[in-house]
Amino acid sequence: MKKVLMGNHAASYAAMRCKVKVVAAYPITPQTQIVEELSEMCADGRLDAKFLKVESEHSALASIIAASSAGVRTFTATSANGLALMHELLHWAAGARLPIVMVNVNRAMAPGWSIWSDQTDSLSQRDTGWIQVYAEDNQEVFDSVVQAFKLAEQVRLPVMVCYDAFFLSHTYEPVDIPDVGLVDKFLPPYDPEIYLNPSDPRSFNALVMPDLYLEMRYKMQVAMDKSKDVAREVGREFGEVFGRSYDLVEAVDCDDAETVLITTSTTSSPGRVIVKKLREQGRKVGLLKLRFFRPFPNEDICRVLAGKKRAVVIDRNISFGKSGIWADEIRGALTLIDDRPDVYCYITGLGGRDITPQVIEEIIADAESKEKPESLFYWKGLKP
Amino acid sequence: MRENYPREELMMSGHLACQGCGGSAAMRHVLKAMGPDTICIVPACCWTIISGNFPYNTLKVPILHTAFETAGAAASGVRAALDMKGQTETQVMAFAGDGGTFDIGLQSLSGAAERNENIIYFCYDNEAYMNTGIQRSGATPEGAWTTTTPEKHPKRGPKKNMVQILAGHKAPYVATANVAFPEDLIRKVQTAKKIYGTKFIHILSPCPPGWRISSEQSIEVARLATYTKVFPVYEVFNGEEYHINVDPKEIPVVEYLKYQGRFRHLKQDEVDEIQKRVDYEWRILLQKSMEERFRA
Amino acid sequence: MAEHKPIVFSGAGEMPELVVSVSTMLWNKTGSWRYLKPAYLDSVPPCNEACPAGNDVEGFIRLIDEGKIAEAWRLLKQENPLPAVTGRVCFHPCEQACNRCHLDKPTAIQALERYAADHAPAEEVKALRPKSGKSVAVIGAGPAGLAAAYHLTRMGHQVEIFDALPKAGGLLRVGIPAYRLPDDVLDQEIAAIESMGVKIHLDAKVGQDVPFAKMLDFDAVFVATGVHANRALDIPGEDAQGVVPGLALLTKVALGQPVEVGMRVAVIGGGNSAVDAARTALRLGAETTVYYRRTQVEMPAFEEEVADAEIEGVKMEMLVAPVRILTEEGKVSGIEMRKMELGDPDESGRRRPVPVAGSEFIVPCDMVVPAIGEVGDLSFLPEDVKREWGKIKIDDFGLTNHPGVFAGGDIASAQQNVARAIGDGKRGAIAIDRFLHGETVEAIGGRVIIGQRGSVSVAQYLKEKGAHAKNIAAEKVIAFENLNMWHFEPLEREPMPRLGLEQRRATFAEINLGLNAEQAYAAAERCFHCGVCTMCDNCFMFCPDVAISHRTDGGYGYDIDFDYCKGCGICVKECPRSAMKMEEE
Repeated sequence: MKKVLMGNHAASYAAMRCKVKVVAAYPITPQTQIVEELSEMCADGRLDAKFLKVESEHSALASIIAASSAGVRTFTATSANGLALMHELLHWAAGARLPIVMVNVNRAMAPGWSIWSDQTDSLSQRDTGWIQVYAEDNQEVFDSVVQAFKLAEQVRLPVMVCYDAFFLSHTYEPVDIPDVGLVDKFLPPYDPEIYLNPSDPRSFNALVMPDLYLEMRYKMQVAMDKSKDVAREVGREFGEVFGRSYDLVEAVDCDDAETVLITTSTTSSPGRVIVKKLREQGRKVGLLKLRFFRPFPNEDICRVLAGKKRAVVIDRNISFGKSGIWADEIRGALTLIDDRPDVYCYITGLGGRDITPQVIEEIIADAESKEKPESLFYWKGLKP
Repeated sequence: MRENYPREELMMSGHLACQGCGGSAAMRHVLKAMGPDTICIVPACCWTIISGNFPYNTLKVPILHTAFETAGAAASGVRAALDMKGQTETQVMAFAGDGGTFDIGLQSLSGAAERNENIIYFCYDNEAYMNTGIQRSGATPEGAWTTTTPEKHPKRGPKKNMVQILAGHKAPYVATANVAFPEDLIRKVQTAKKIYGTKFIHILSPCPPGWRISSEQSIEVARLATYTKVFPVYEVFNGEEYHINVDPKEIPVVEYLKYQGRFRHLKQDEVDEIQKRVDYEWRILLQKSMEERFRA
Repeated sequence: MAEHKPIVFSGAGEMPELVVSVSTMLWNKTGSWRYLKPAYLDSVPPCNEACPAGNDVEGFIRLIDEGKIAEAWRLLKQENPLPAVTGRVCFHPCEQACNRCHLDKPTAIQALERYAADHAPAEEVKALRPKSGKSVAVIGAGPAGLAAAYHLTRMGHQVEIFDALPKAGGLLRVGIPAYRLPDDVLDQEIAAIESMGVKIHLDAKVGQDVPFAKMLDFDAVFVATGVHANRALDIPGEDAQGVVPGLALLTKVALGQPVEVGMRVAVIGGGNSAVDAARTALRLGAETTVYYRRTQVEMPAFEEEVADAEIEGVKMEMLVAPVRILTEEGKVSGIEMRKMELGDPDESGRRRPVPVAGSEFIVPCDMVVPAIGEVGDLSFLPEDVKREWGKIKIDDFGLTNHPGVFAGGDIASAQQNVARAIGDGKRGAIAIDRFLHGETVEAIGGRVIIGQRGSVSVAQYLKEKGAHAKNIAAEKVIAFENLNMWHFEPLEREPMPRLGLEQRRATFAEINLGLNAEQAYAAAERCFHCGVCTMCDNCFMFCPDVAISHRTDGGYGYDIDFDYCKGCGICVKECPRSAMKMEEE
């Protein structure tokens, strides 16, 4: 059934449809509505779950890790500083191979305090071993969370679904919420083989000596690698059940493009508008929307960008001392092919500054005016 | 033979505790009273190592090793999961050192206690960060040597009173215990199991290398701590009702301090100060134990 | 025992997907960390060492503690044929040695021995060896002779006892009044020995009624005639009418013979005979005073006896000695006494009494009871049997220089007490048994000796099963410092219930009434069980390595798993009673 929901509530509905059993969360703008809605759902019985009102994000993820270890489906949500506080445990959740699903509302890191959209928070957690997915609109928020549980429980790695603060979290859009029976068909109950069980008393997460640690990490990497195919399969199956299928990336008008605009999250929406406009003007421009950050879709990116003249990446984040993070990762992936485009990176929109269609059009024009990128990134919209 | 001391073992030999480790003794007694239908959460502490490295477990109950500061939160999570699975009878216990309880773990313990999570939290207190090599903690007693409070700069200020902190949370059952009085500890665990909510038991557990005593003195020194009133053994119901469980003896604190290398640098006036404080705290506790309760 | 091996993964493919355990730590034999290891060691409790009769004191108390009265009695009877006697009259050096003295009061060992003897069901004591065909003559049916006869019969020999008196028992009968040792109790103990096949000839004084030569018809002889001749005061008037030596007075009363007691009786002496004579005279209606030349502290009589005497009304005058006995018409009318003071110590270690010149005074009385000690009569013995200091010379086991002739008890020993006599009887029996089998005492080595004070165990000699199978030859006798006092609390020692004072004075009824079951249990609980494991579970409870467990075959004691014991030493330290020790690995 179609409902008009804010992005945060779309996330709540997804968690509810997936019949999570334990939720633990700590409030932080702009995530608060997720947990408020989940509280209501638990209170009125729409969701049969325990909601732990923990006293910090660190404890939120700690209790979720523990609950997941006990063999139940779990969910949490946070943002920015809350995510940063969880950092130690992000490593832990992945290393413990737990199928936790977390929503992170992308918000700028403090100081100065900012509640507005910025991707640096989740991108700077890239090495923790979590699968990361970025959503463009509220429907994709709902759909990504549902797929996340299936993906996580198959590969045994935690999944973070990210979307922009306020642009999605607090913006109302129509969202199709499928019936519970349909979701049950897609997502069976969580039934792990090994969990905390007094009848099978094992020790979990003990000390690993140097002669074995490498191999445990290897197994994580193998799972991460496998998750590309699994994610594609899950996205395809989702399409069969719900009518909307998903892949690791989405390419629009890229086949004969010279310039490919690469976007993520809500930036993809004005991106589509501009690409359509420029195509109508006869320019050979395409759009490559990236959904997955981890595992990084090397093959898909190389396939789409091979032979192209230039890739123009819009990064609403920065890795100080290097460049925009998506652009950096793309450059790394492209070393796998010889016939690769020049990569232009534009850092803009930090702290919630709007990335309008006009901004995007100016970025493309700027990139096309250059022979070669002279630096690893350019600021867009900076007032020096 | 003792009727009040259960025979069945839920802990096995071959574990990695040092000779005379109070923490290993504490776990053994606790598990006997907890029984096999128990899940044990262990944050970073000596027991992370004692329990055995991957892929081994020295206990006959599951252990969830967790990050240092998360014992209270992790126990809450396991409890929630078990309750959702309908396994409300399975006991959830945290077994943490003093570092993971008094210092870095205080927040998550406080959060769990404030929510009155139905868990039993055991702190085995060896009075310093022993696992990382004897650094001071909030549980280190005044005057003690540790590697971060060397003899020229011994630890200043009294040991944090965790029982008081949790009594302040109105936790339904908070108690101290001592590895020198195992039957009292067993009884306390059995009492705790029957109460709903957050139960906290603080167990004095000597560390021979950290306290600079020889291994066979471990129990004797623990016993002296209680008999000299340095570590009274008592229990508190609902944050208000105090019962002293082990009567101390008229023994001055120097009889406890003199065995331990970590106190050997103390001068007479410092010992006198310690004696004064111990006597003062004892009088307060005694008074509390004699108070009439407000409620019927 | 399943082999516990460490897990070895050949590669990532073999490892579990999660960081979970697949096995235990039992492969890790932490026993390799040790350089000292604990051991259970039954050592000698001081009471066992101190008992001259060689009782397994700790053992029988533990059996009473467990409610096993009959077994406690049987354990006593392994060593001591007369527990009902010693449970009443022994001077209980065990209680003096009891480590509990240093905490509060000693365990009430004597009262417990009496309890076991009085309450165990009567049982036949069987011989432990088949009949040897050998015969032994025992001269004297006192405690030494009875003990020797008892043990020799258990060893399979035929024993005949020859005693001068009309009733058996020796000094037990005639020297100890009925208010301390009732007749019927003594009768029962002796009857039990007779029922084993021992023949007692009464009114058969060797050297008078029976020639000594007849003794040599037997395969061996044990001389235990005791000391019954009174030591003379050596003062003028000693032969007057009304001068009755202490032992003579006691003997007459014991044998039911008529006795004339005066109105005012003066007893001279400070030993048990003197005090017993005084208390006897008191019961026969006299006003009695005991006169002793040293002070009460030096009196050899048992302190309890002296205290009882005073309570009953016997007066005590110290530091006086008789000079001469005054008579009127040949009858005693008084004694001239002289005051004494204490000078330098004599060879007994006690300060020598020195007369104070010019301090004479007269004490009016009509009966004088000299009780300054007894001596033995050795006239019946062949000349070649060596004597020393008025006694038969014997070695540690009762051998005289005459092969086949053995001796023990007051006639041969410097220590004169019932328990010692029983011990002598045992040692003599062992020596005679060796002799009859053509073997020596030296060959048995030290295995029968308990501790350092010379007591022996027949149970060890005969290799009987029972609690006495302790390491009795251990050098270690447990002292108070060896115990862990943290595990003991002070506990009041309940006093022995006693007859009322009026009844005591008026009759010869037994004064001590004995403990009841509840009191006996409470008394037994006070025993520390020094050096002997009582399965208190301390070691099991305090071991941090789960290396100590209860024996799985149902036997007594614990198993230590040395594969895992780290040698921390806590078990040994927390053993309340020093029944464990640490040894070099």
